[in-house]
Amino acid sequence: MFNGCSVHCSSVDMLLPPDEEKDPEVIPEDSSLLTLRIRKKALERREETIIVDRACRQETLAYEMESHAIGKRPDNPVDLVEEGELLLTLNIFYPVIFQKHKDHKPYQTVLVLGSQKLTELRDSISCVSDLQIGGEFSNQPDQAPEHISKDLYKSAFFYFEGIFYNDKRYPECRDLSRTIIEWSESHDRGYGNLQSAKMEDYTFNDLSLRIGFPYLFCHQGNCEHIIIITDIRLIHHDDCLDRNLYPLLIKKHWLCTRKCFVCKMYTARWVTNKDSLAPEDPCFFCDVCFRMLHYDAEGNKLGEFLAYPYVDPGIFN
Amino acid sequence: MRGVRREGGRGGGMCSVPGLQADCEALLGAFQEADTVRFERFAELWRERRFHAIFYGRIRALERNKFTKKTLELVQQYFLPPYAFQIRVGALYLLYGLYSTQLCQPKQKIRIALKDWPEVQRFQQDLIESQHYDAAYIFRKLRVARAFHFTAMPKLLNYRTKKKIQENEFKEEFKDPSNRVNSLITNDVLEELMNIHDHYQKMKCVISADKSQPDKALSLIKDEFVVNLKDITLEHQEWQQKRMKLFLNAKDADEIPNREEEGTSLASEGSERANALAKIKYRSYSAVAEASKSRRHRQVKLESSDSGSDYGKSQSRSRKNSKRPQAARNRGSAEIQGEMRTMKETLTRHVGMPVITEEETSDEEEVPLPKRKKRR
Ligand SMILES: [Zn+2]
Ligand SMILES: [Zn+2]
Repeated sequence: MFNGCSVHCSSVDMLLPPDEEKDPEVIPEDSSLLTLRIRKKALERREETIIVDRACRQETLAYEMESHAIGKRPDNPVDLVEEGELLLTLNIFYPVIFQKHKDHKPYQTVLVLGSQKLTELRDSISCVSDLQIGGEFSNQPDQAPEHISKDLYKSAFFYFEGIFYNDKRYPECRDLSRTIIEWSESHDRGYGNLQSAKMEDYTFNDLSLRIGFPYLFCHQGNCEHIIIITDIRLIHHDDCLDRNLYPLLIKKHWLCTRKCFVCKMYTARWVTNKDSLAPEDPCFFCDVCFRMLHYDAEGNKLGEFLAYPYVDPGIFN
Repeated sequence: MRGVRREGGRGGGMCSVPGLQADCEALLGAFQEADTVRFERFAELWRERRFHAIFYGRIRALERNKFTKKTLELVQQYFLPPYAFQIRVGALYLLYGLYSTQLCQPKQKIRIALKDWPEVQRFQQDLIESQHYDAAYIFRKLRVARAFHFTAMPKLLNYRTKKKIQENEFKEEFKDPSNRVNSLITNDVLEELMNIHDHYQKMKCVISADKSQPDKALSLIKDEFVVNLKDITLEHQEWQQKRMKLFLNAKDADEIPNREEEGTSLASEGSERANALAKIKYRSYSAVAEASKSRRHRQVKLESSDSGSDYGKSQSRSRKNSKRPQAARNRGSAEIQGEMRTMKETLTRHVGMPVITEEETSDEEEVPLPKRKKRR
């Protein structure tokens, strides 16, 4: 007959290692486990071939990003995420489609609470095109950074399950989806009954969503991001329970930054075309080098060139 | 969420940690051979293998998280049908061992999908009712430790290139032996068949000359066919059980009480079957489903056969329901989107925008240090 006490007293102890085996860094010799024999070999190989483990730094950053908010609690109890709250994991893909990303499309991963409004996610999506500055500024470089696209074009929509959710919070917001719906209807494209709604009126709990299905976020008129929900689960005690930290970014693709052609050190802020002073076209410069090379002490333009403010995709790194 | 539909099936391969599946199956196999569900015995087998060391080695934190997640994901599958009762108990202990000895901080959680939760609760109920208190206790410990994530899907979707995704292969020896036949011929099905058959007989009587029995000309079906079907099912199970040599050790001490009630478990032959046939005739259809559960480890048998009868039904929610073609289509449309974008990019050239060519160097290897935003 089974003796209950032997479990109750020491169920974990019954599985724990003898004291001499408590260093988790060291794989025990003569282990019968296949997993460990394979790992031991793999680790030995790694140590032999790589002197400096280059993956290390990137991995440390990725780990830091994945775990930085875990277990956080709000200062104000009002902001505590309640038990039973839903947590969604979204992959938001970058719009930049370079050839080299054909197989691995870059994306960022965010956690959103079911009770959050779609607009909260919208405001958290950082995209270079929001910082894009239109126009050629070689004659007045000082005026360039003042109006960025995010302030100019506030319209945006999500597309989930046949419904366009338009951001209508500001009077200057346009219904970007109207053209699409009209196009669909006028040609009877077989997309059924497309509808539009206000983004600010809906939370994720209000939606009926499919895991793994590609949805869309569109802003700046034509900057399109595919959104895929990869997981939905109940919130857990170990999660970040500070409502203010959601949507929570937990993973992103590290985009390379374009360096200044002159100093090779700072991230490019300007790009020039038809530049008589530059060795290549287009040519990238940081702000300091750009001004030093292209203007005299009084700020007069030197030589012929077209200059555009440049926002590097790696700016969010 | 108003409705969460599932899409894309079970993403990802079974397990990409080399050797892990073999190690886990070896441990579960040994537990099966030990022919018990006692935690004490499991702990012995675990210690013999020094299984706690499965997490050892110089592994970086990110890698460790991933590896631990995959380990729990792998073992979690043995905790659910179609695996036999004993394997499921073994998997419960294994999950407990892995969860407790993992080195992640905070601990990685065990995913339980919404659709599997009723099954897990039923399992827990079974443990208690059959007085496997050690197993019930271990389950309770996991609950109290908040070891579970309650999820919409069994696995976190991950997107890798298609060829890496492989269908899971279940270990045949661990499966509940009578599973497929059992899921097809449930108590309900037999009950239904019996009713239809009765009804059919009555209909034939009504249109016959002699109202008390049907005309010979209408005799197109064997009267005893429900009983025969039952008989065939039993025979098949017996055959399968013999072939698998599962739990045929009569020495099992746990099992002695209530043998009579457990007669339909098909461990013994002859009289048991006659017994079962008699039961059928009395329209007591508890046999098939009960037998399937391989509950010979139970000390006390469930009073009602109801809990058994929906067991088969839960099986019919097949794991094969995954919508792979759909997933493939999604991928395709994303591809098209991508192509359309590149097309659009080459076509539309905004006025006031610079001409920038794509850089050749890969950006993935080189990681810039997090820099202060150099604005202005
Ligand atoms: Zn964008
Ligand atoms: Zn520079």
